Parts: sequence; C-alpha cells; structure tokens
Amino acid sequence: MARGDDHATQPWVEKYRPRRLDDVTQQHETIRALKQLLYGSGGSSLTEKVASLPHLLFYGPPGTGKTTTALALCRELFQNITNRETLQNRVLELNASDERGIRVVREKIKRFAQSSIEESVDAQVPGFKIVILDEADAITADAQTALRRTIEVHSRTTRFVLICNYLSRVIPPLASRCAKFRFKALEDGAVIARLEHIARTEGMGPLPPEASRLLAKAAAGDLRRAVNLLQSCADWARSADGSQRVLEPEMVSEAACMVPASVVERFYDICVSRNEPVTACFEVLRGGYPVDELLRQTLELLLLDSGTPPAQVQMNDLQRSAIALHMACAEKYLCDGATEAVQLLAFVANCRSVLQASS
Amino acid sequence: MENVDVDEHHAEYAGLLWVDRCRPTTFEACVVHKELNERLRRLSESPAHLPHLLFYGPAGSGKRTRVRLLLRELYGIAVDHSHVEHRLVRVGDPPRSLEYTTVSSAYHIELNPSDVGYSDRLLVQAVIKEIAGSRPLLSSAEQDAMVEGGTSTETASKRLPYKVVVLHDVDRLTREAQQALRRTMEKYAQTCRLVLIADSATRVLEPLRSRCLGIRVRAPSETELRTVLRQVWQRMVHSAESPPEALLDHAIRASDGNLRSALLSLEASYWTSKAGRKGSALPEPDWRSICDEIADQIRKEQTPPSLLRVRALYYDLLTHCIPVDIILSMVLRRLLERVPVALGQQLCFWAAEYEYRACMGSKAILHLEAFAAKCMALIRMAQTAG
Ligand SMILES: Nc1ncnc2c1ncn2[C@@H]1O[C@H](COP(=O)(O)OP(=O)(O)OP(=O)(O)O)[C@@H](O)[C@H]1O
Ligand SMILES: [Mg+2]
Repeated sequence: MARGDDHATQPWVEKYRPRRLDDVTQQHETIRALKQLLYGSGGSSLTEKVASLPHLLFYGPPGTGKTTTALALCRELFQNITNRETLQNRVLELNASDERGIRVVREKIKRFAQSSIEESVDAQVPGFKIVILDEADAITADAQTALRRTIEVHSRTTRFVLICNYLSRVIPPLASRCAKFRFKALEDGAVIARLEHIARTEGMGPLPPEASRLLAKAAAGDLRRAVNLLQSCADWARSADGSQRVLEPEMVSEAACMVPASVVERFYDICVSRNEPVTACFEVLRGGYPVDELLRQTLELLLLDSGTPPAQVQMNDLQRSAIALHMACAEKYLCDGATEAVQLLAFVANCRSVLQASS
Repeated sequence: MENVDVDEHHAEYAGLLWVDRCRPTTFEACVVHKELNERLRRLSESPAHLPHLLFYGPAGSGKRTRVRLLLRELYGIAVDHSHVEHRLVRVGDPPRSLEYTTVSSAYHIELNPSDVGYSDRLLVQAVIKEIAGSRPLLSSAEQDAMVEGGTSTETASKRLPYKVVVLHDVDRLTREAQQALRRTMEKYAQTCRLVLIADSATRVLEPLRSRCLGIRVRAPSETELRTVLRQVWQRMVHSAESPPEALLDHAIRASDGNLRSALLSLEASYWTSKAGRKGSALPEPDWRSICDEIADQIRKEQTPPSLLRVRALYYDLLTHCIPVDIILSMVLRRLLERVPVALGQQLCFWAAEYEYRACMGSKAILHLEAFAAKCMALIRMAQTAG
C-alpha cells in the first residue's frame, strides 16, 4: 500500500484515494451504517459488537468509492493490531486480475483462513479476517455457487466483502448472505466539493464555477473520472514557467472528450431527415466519438424536443417512444460488444422507418 | 509491428513502406491534430503523475503514432531502441501454452493480448500483472542508452519511476480480460502506467474507461490528408514537385479518412505508374475489394449457387483474419451504395441483428452467410414487389 513519500509519482486518483471512512465523499448512509457497525453509537474505539460483523456486499457504478471504502474499512478494523502482525495477515484481496476458477479460489481462501492469527482478549482487535472479493461481476455463476459453501465453512473466522457494479451479476443465494450497501453515483455538488479540495491542495487556485460545473457534468457521477479530468486540465492549464492559468471551460470539454452539442444535433438531424444517410453517418463516425455516449445524448434531445425539432418533423409520443426503444436496443447491443458503424446505421434506419410509417 | 529508427540512411529502410519511413518523430513535425499534439506534449511535461490513457478513434487515424511520440517525449530517444520478441508462457488451470509477441525497450513494452484469442484473460492475469508489478530497471537501462545513443544530451533518457505498458486493440479483448485489468491498473499505478489503444471506445468496459484519461483521435480531415500526402511525396519522390492531383484525389477517396491506407494507396499508384502500364504487377486485391465482390454477387444474383460463391469469398476473408464485424460493415456499406433507400433501411436493420448474433456466437461464417441470404431475400422481394 502506498506510503506518503510515494505520492509524488502517483496519478491523482490514487494520491487522493481516501484512507479513512470519514474521508469518503457523499456515501453518507453507507458510511454511517458501517461506522455504526464498527464503533456503535459513538466514540473512536471499536465496540464489542464488531465481533458480529456480517458479510458485506457493496454495489454501484464505477468510481463511486466501493474499493476505497472496503480498504478503509479494513484499515480501521485492524488499526490496533500489534506490530507483529500485518494487515496482509488479516486481509486477502481477490479481484478480477487474479485467477478465480472455483478450485483456485477455494484453495486460496482456505489457506488464508487457516493461517493463524494472534489470539487476543482485547476487543480492540477483532478476532477474524477479511476476504475482499472485488469485481465480483467477473466471477462466473458456477464459481459463485461454489463460493456459497466456502463462505459458510469459514464464516466463523472470516468475513467476506463482495464488491460489484451490478447487483444482478451476483447470484441471489450469495447476495442474501450479505448486508447490502448501495453506492450511488455522486451528485454534482459532492463532485465539485471534492475537486475544489484537490485543486486547493495542488495549488491550482480556485476553480471557475463554469469549469467545475462542466467537470461534474462530464464525470456523470464518477468521481474517479472527475479527478482524472481535473488532473489533465491542470497539466493543460500550466504555463511553460510552471504558473497556473485559469481553467477555461473549453479546456474541460476538450479534455473530457464530450460529444459536442453541434455533433449531437447533427446526428439527430440525420435520424429525422430524409437526406442520404450513409455518407453523413460515416462522417459522424470519423469523428471517433463513443457511439454509446452519442446515443445517450441524442436521447436527451429527443425527449426534450417538444415538436419543434431542427428538421421540421412533427413527432407524436408514440413515435418518440418507439425511437427510444430502438435506442435501448442499440445500446444493449453495443454494451455486448456489437460494432459502432453497423449499429449506428441501423438506428438511423429504424428512426426513419418509425417516422415514415405514419406519414 | 514496426520498429522504426530515425536515421535516414539506415539499411533497415530498404524494404520499408513510405508510411513507416515518413512517420513523424516529433510532435512539431506532425501536421495532423495540432491541438491534440499540444495537449499530449503538455501532459508529458509533468510525467510524474501521468494518468493511465485510453487512445480511441477510427482505424488509421494516428493513434499509434501519437503514442509513440508521447513515449519519446517521456523517455527520450531511447524508447526507439526497441526489439521484437516472441514469448511463450504456460498459465492457467489446467495449464495452457500461450504464444505472444512483444515490442519493448528498456522503458516500455507493447503487446496485443487479443493475439491469443479467448485465452486473453490468462495473459492479462499472468503476464501483464507481472510486468506491471515489477519496477523498471533504471540504472542498467540508462547505461544502455548511453552506450547506444552516443554522447549528445538529447539521447540521454529521462528518469521516471515507472514504465509504460501499451496494449493494442483493447476493444478486441474479451470482457473477462478487460475486467482483469481493473485492479491491476490501480494497484500498480506506482510502477506502471497503461496506455490502451482501441478503435472503438464503446467496446471498452465502463470501469476501464473510468480509470483512464480518454484521448480521442479523430480521422484526419481531407485538408490534413492532402497536406501529409504532399509532404510524403516531396520527401520520397521529388522535393520540388507536387503529386498529380488525380493521384491525390484517388488516394483520399479510397482511404475513407484512414491516413495509413491513403499513404499505401499513394505509394502503390506511384510504383504502378513508374513501372509503366504494361507488365506492372497490380497490387494484391485487398479485403475491401473482396467485400465489394460479395456485395455485387448478392445484388446481382439471389440463388443458392450465388450464395455458395459468397461463402467462398467470406472464407477467403476469414482465413486472412479479417474480423467478422469489419467484413459485415464493409459488405453492408457497399450494398447501401447500390440499393434504393427504402431497401437499404431494411438491410441496415438486419445487419445490426446479424452482427450482434455474430458477436455473441462463436461461428462467424454462419452469421455472415445468414446475413447474405437475408439480403438476397429482401432484394428479391423488393424486385417482385416493384
Ligand atoms: N466517494 C468517494 N470519495 C472520495 N474519492 C472517491 C470516491 N469515489 C471515488 N473516489 C476516487 O476515485 C478513485 C476510485 O475509487 P474506487 O476505487 O473506490 O472506485 P470503485 O467504486 O471501486 O470503482 P470500480 O467499480 O470501477 O472498481 C479513488 O481513488 C478516489 O480518488
Ligand atoms: Mg473497485
């Protein structure tokens, strides 16, 4: 784990990873509940009840603090272990970068759970270990089924923390064994507050409101993305002599690679007009914008648009919903790995047939 | 993969194509993507906390070149002393042998994990994690650089505490392999930075995109293409002469915004015209013209024998390792150029359907054929109706 003096050579996302539960931004309910489990109703010493800590399941979108919280939790749980023991004795982290076939996982967990820990009468050192199963979405259903048993066998000495992006990817029998905590996408206000704190610490000076608003919008609730963007903007705004220029909103939208409104409008136009679509579509594709992002922003335009779209097309609600359905389908296909060009062409074709069907 | 030196008169150059010989070696020399180059240069000025990067944009838009230039800014000229290596590892449970190729210097290593097909996850878990976790061998590397690079201060490499791992075609990795990258990118951020390259950002998992600073490399504009083609011509053919406009137009039209193919096509036209019309070896028919042929066949004749001919052409493409999505998009595109708009709309709908099935399934040829058959049916129906 990172030591203080290594910070200089780390990307900001790692440098500013909170080390204590209190420093985690926004996830108030989760943090409050976790602290309740650790410290009871107050104080800074662990309660007796910590011995009955349940298995935990954290879920939520990327960059919202799940891994961070799990690590901070372990750090606080084992803050009082004697120096003959290390955190590594107590915490096993298994993530998608580890081989997680059924057999391997079972072996690893078994070996870890059986290694002895210091018997202590002190309530300040919990008498169990923690296994963090990060990125559990990537564990196959079969392996998860096998895990059920493993968790049961070792639950006297070991607590599990499962982390995933989608709750639906964890099989219900496994999920039901855990106390679940949802990590929400961060609100813009919370993102901005955190970014301002980092900017201050880095000596960037105050962030212009317009720039920080844009940063938050581009991050869409993903704090990691926001921090990455802030860092790249900071590099961008640094003059040759090392002094900082003011962060321009243009720098932010450029750095965030947002699909510019003009491109979204142009694409919307292609969808609803009757001009030759193929050349126009490939023109859009040559821009290299992520197509799923483009579709998402087009949907916004479609839903907002109240009958006076750019291309003088009247659309009723039925048509609107039909198009939204096509969009959902395209998005699903893209998520599963389909090709941008084909899906984009098909979406345009589908929009047009919806509009032509009734006219 | 290319391993290009800067030296003009190097023997290595003998068999190289123009695209490789004229690859720019500094951001200043780069005429395409001025604003992006400036951004990258800025990024490289505070290298200590460089984030992981994801370069994305259409094929042939210049992603590799940008990565190369960035590495050079970071480490100096020493990154150009790279060598190609074929390696073999045994990993997994039960153990499997994986063969892969790396291009590496003392400071960076490039590989394409999708080379090993469905076992790419194992490669990511075993090999990349190990590379990422080990510290760069600074001292010996620096010695090397001093010996090979001569005395000029230019060539002295810069001291950075991490190495860069460049992964190509990340959008062609399986989801499992992409998942396997996640925590590695966080845990070893100290010793390693990842540079991911993908044609399509959409196919890179959301958690991975969240971990990287995205860098969009759009296809060069027509003006930019023209400028580059002129420059290359003047460097390779005649310094005081512009290439014939017809050649330029042809190269640009055929390239579809792909700088690499524009240059290849310019060079091909040059050699063809130089050899004279008679006796000149025509360039091998590339995959595009085969797709062309497939589209033609589908449009001209909707019968079982015709389908058989299409199948043979598909196989031809597949055995040359052209990915199924590229085949299908190109055939669709060629068909759209040749059929009425209303019919085209239907073709698009079904193309999306079959392409999706192809990417979910495992036997590409079945879905390609089904698509061809469906197109034939639709064309026939449109003909009898009209
Ligand atoms: N709630 C938060 N408070 C403070 N920083 C955060 C928070 N969420 C994310 N971050 C920042 O983002 C980085 C990544 O967070 P973390 O690893 O916890 O994400 P995650 O939820 O595990 O995402 P993933 O699902 O992609 O694994 C942290 O290093 C930190 O800089
Ligand atoms: Mg995580």
